[in-house]
This record gives sequence, structure tokens and C-alpha cells, in this order.
Amino acid sequence: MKYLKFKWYNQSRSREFEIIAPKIEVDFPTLITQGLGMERNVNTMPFEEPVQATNLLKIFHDTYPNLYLPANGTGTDLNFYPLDNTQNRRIYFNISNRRSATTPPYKYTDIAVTLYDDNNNRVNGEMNFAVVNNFSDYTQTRLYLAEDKNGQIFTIMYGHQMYTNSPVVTVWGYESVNQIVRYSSRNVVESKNTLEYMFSNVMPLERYPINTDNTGIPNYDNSSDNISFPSLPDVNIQAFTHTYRMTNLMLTHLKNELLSDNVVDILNKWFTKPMDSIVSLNIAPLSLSEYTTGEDIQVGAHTINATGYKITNALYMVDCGFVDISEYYGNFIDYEKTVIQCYIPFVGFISLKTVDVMSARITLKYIVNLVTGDFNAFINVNRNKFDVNFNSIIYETTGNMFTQLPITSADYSNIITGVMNTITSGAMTASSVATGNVSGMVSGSTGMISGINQMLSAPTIQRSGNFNKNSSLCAIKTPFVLIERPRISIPSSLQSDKGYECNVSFKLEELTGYTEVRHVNLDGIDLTANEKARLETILKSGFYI
Amino acid sequence: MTKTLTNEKVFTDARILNAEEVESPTITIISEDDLTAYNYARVDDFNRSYFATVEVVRDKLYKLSLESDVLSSRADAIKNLTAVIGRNSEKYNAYMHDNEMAEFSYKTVQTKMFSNPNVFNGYSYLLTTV
Repeated sequence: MKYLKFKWYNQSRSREFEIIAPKIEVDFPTLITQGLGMERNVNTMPFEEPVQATNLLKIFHDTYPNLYLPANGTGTDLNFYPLDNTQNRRIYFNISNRRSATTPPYKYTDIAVTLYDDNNNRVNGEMNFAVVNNFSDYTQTRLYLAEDKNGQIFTIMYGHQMYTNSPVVTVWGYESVNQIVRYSSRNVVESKNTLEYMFSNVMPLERYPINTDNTGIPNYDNSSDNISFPSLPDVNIQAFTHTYRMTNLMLTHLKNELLSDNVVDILNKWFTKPMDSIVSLNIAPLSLSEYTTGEDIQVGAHTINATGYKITNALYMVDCGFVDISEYYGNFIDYEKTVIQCYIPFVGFISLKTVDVMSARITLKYIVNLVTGDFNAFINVNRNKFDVNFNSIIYETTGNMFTQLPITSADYSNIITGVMNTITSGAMTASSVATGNVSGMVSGSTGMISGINQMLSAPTIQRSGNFNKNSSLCAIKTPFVLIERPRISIPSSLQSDKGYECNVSFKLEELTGYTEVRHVNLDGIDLTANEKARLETILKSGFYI
Repeated sequence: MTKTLTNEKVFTDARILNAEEVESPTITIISEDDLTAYNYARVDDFNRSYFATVEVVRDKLYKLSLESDVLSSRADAIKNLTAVIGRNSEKYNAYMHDNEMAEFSYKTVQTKMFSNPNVFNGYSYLLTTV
């Protein structure tokens, strides 16, 4: 329902009152108390002084120049053309006041709103607003619907039945007892445009969202698609290389074997130096104890008389387990004020968003390339709280966990890169063939050729090993979560004396203890305007039920 | 909202000086009893309860300056109101930001290990050959 509210009030001691449409509020009591320029005198009747036909109706519109409408008697209606001109809806609005009571002591001063349709026929539904003196003395005047005196404040509402059939709204005024004055503005033609302008800028308050283009359509879908840990890729990284887990004894034996005359002769046919047959020797921070099958180490097309534990899958999953991150205070502080970081070995600290991981189980897993030491680390967050079940990987980082040992001056990085490109491209080609992706096939084939070319290129000779990754050998290898919490001062009597944040609508009788009201409508409470204001202040500033 | 009243005294001959001021009327009372200890009043004609300030005008003549207790006067109607509640002692949402809670300048730090903390404690040599 669209509705407009207007604030009408009288400027004290002046013979005018305002319509401030943009404020869209109602403050009739002041208007009525003061009347149209009448001074209220508690010892006499309200509106004792007759309203003169020369009184001015003053209309304000924000910064628009004030307009004075002479209330000069017998003119016809003042026409307001409201914002909504659809459906042939026009509202004619004529404003004045009248004193309806004819017998002293006057108890009522009415503003009557009568409705007329476009044919100037009166429409049923006249609304009389009465200034009522409740307590026999003229100290309290309030605006009532005259029919039921229920304290309704005058409100113009679009959609209200009073506006059906394109009515005319006319407010009649009485200059003195039984003397009717119709304050009108037909003679003030120019005012019409002003009023049109004024109304055209009145934005109807919308009690409920009507235009979904402006409000969106909520779906309240909190469900998530789970993003799981990746499985180990089914690819053969070691098509052209061999990786072995070695013990100290195995390494010693291998070194001696590589330097023996018969092996040197063999390897010299393949490599510049025998040691160049070793692509890499790394220390991995992993026991890899599951690899226990000893095999002779293979170099090129030859095997040598040295044993290692063959690594059958160069991609290795490391499961660090989980950490449950629990609330400490059980309130907003756990989410707003707490800082959470995760120490990921060989990476360092990464920041976790508290709102992501509080009240959640986070799981850390690595996938490690046992040839290069490169890894991807994943953090999965699993939380079932606040009506949301979430279980997905939302953090990922990369690094390298190997400590390289100097063995030879040969740099086989090109070879390794070539191997990787070849394998990847081969897989891509195979996939493209399977799916009929021609461009993928071309791209994959090109990659394979490029990779093979790199493999066949001569290794780059270096003179020294690379110790840059040595730091990982001595780094902290324990994955953990670091939680930084504020210390909060919560007075023991806070709950009873001040309560906690609520922001929920309740019937007040459902509550006990300290209460602060944020919004309330006191229209139905039988109190004076001042008392209502005071009551609202009390309700909003806090009270005990 | 609801008050416990004691030592009630009923007057039927009080003179209301400004009866039109139902919010804050002033009443004169002649009483044999000392009324200076009283601080609350009820005027049924006005359908209101009041906070009272008692002033001795002269011997046995008291002047009561009243101010309506809007909460108690309309307690039933108020309890029937539905309102958006900002704060309450019993019904609240602890996950809403609350400025009444103050933060100390220092913080606490806590570490929690993952459940398999020793996965990187072992080591092995990895040899890769061509």
C-alpha cells in the first residue's frame, strides 16, 4: 500500500499554516491546537477569535518559494494533482477549517474532508477531524476522526478507499459559528502549478517492497557446493626419470659405485661426467616409510649395482589432520575481534578470515611432487552453524619443501621441465582426442614436440649446488593455528542492568528485565502528545519490565 | 513498569489547582498526617499515576507537584505493544555487535596444532636419476 503523510502545522501567532509535503509526516495536534492562526487561550474557547476570510494559507515546499493562497471565501476548489495520474486518479484538495460545534462551550473544531468524484458528486466517506477537548478544560486538543474519536492522526493514503473513483477532497472551513467559509484557491490559478510541482516531488512511502526491481528478490539459499580435496592426479611424472628413497648407507654405496671404473665407462657414453646422471638429490621432510621395495638404481638404459627404494608415485598426499576452532566468548567478539592465522610448514603464516573459520573444523593437506619438492597445500573448512552447512576448500597455497643436496654441476632443469611438458601435453592430447577437441590436440602435440626438444638438449653445466632451500630443513614443521583474541571487559551486571543486543520484534508482555525499545508506535496509547513523547523517550532509553 | 506501593492514603477532598494539566497537576491537601515522606500518587479522575513532590505550604497544608508516570499509568497498554526491541536482559542475540562491552588493550594468543602434527618430522633422501 502506498501512502503519504503530510505534516501540517501552524506557525504560532501567525495566520497561516504550512503543508510540508516533503517531510511526509503528521503533526496535526499542533495545527489544531493553534488553529489557523488562532491563539489558544486556556481560559476561553479554542478558535474563539473568528477566522478571517483574509487569512492566508501558506504552503511551503522545501526550497520552493512560499506561496500564499488567499483564503477569500467563495472560490471553488483548490486542485491538487498528485503524483499518481494513472487510472484517471485526480485528487482535489481544498483546505480550510471550521468550527462545527454551535453550542457553547465549543468542544469541537472540525476539519472536514469530503470527497468528490470527477463529476463533482460527493463521494461517501467524508472524514471529519475533530479537535477535541478531552478534559473539559481547553488544555489538550487533539485531532480525532470525528466519527469514532479514536485518536487517529490524519493520514492521506494512496490506495485508501477514500481515493477510489477519483474523488475530490475538500476541506471546509467556517469563519465563525454557522458561517461557512470555503478556503479555496480557484482564483489563484498559478498556485495550481506550484501544487502540482509540490506533489510531483512527494515520494510515496512504501510500507512494503512493491517494486522488486528496486528491492531484489531474495531466495535465502545458503547451500554450498562442496569443493573437496583433489585426488592425486593419475599421471606418470617419471616416464623418463627414476626416483628412489635412499638411506645414508645406500647413498654411500651409490657414491662408491658411481665412481667405480666399470660404471664410469658406461656412463661416460651418456654423460659428460658420471655424476651428471643424477638429476637431483634432495632431503624430503617426509619419512616415506611405505616405500620399502629395494631396486637397483637405473641410470639411462643401465642399472648399476646400488639399491634404493623405488618411488612408484611421485605425487604424494600429506594429511596434517584438522583443528577445531571454537568460540571463546560465544558472542560477536569471536567473529569481529579475533585474528586467526595458520602456520603452514614451508610456507609460513597465512591469514584466515575469522568469519570463515570460527566454529569450524579446518583440515590441512598437501600434495607434494616427490621429484621437485613443489607442493600445493589446501585448507578445507567444515562448518555447520547458523543454519549453514559448509564444507569446502577455500584456501590454497604453494611452496617447496625439499632441501637440495649438492651432487654435481649438471643442471637438469631443462630435462625435467621437458619431461613434465611432454607428459602434460601428452595427457592433453589424449584428452583432446577422446573429446574431439582439435585445437587441444594441436596444442598438445606442439607441446610434446617442444618438450622432447628440451629433453634432447644438452644439460647446462653448473659448478655448485643450490642451498637456497636449506631453510626448509631447519624450519618449524608443525602445522598449527595461531589465534589472537582480545580480552573483553563484561561487567557482571551488564545483562541485568543493560541487557544485550536484541533487534527482534516482541510484544512487550513477552519480555522481562531491562528493555530498550528501538522502534514503537504509540498511536494506540491514550496519553497526551507530551506524555507520548516522554513515554517514547523512556522506552527508547531503557526501562524495566 | 509496575511499582509496589505501600502506606496508601486516600484523599477525596483534594483541590486540584490546575486540573487541565493532567500531565503535571498541582494538588493541595490538608492532612493531619505528615505527607513529606510520600513520593507517588494516583488520581483516578485523570486515570494516571504520578511521581509526587510534596511541599509543606503551612501547617497541615501540603502542595503536591505531580508528574505523570507514563509507564505505570499505561502499563497494560504498553505491554500490549509490539515493538522492535533494541536490548533486553533475557531475549537477545549475542552475535550482534554490542558497544557495551569494552576491550582491554592486551590480547591473548593461543596456538592449536593440527591433529597430525608430526607428518613432517621424518626425513628421507630422494634420489632422481635419468
